[in-house]
Amino acid sequence: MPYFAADAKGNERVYNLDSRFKLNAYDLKHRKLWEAQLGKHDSIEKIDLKGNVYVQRSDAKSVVLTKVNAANGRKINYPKTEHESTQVSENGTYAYQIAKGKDGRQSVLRNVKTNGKIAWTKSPFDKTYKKTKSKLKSAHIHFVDEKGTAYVAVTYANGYIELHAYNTKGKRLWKREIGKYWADQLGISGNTLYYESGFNTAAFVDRKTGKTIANLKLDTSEELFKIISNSKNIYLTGHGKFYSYTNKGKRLGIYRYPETDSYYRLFSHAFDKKSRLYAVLYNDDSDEPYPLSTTAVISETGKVLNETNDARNFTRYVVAHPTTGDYYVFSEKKSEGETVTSVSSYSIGK
Amino acid sequence: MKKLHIWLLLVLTAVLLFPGQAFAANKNTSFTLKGEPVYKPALGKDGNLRVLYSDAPYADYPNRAFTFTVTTPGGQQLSSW
Repeated sequence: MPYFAADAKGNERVYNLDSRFKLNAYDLKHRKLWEAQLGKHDSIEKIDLKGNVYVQRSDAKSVVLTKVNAANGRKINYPKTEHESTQVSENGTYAYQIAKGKDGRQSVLRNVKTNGKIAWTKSPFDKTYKKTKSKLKSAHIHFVDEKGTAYVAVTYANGYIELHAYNTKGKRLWKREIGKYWADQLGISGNTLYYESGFNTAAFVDRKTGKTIANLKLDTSEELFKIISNSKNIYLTGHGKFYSYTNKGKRLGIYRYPETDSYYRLFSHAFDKKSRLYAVLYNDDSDEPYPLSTTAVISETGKVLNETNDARNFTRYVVAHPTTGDYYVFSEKKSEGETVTSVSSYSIGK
Repeated sequence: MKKLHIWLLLVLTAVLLFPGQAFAANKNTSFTLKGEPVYKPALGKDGNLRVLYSDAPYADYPNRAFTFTVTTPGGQQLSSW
């Protein structure tokens, strides 16, 4: 299976995991840069913004994450954990783990350096949930941001959940009570952290202080699938429509998919530097050989700038130029047993 | 003078009948690739597209072959392997 990665410095690499579990790295002219031998049970988890590849293998007793360096293919193993995956920031600079503490529970937070060595261990977070004196049950790292802050959900034996933020030195920056329901939906936009904290509530929170910026009532009938965000806006996507908000919690608008009753979902998306969203949506309830799909471009203020519906082709990806408003739509069509991808370019202007 | 009035009337009618049309995106170019993308395509800093695609669907793994190509937005293949 091949992969493509480009970093901010302009390095571009094509990776290919071959049938002998060798990860080969090439430049754009197919010159081999390096190879790294992976294991039979390794799976590629992600590629960070620097092009480093993360490979994970797990068995009943442990989970091990290995980082394959984009520059030379050298592998670094992060310390093994019992159940939880190691969480690495998108820029590849910061890594955290939840591991088993002395009490036998998943209750130790570890900060791991880029060389795989443990920088510090923090144990336990809070021995008891003060209101009810309930003991700590488990912890889970939800996200590590670009500055190295880890957002950790801590669950107590009585089911209560708190959200904690820790900085790279292990200092807890803040904690917030979530309640008994945690929707596991989290988004970052500018200085804002967005999370859904109950069946019908969500919060916009200051990332540094944990203070509330705005609270949000969600429609309880709505099942929200995915949160996407850029530096200015947060989008909540659901059946048939999605909502756009500023990172201050102000609602910008609702984008309704072409058939509002249908099961349209967001398949892929891109943002440009002007905060415009290019969204590919498809109807996963369709009986057609290919799901109906549409591509919508939404401005920073929530206005629909363009919409392309295609009933005959299945659109999978959109690629956007960072500034010009040019974008490319990749649509597939089956013809006599073969698939042909049509690449169409559009422009909404600067 | 009369001609100018007629032209102005025509332009005004067009604007009233088709508001916003001037801002709609236009489809500029289109080209095809034989197969389907297997990884999210990318736009390079040189303005050309990078696409990884396969000649066969995912279900045909491991018999499918992969191609990496760099093409201009107009579809001219600069490299392919």
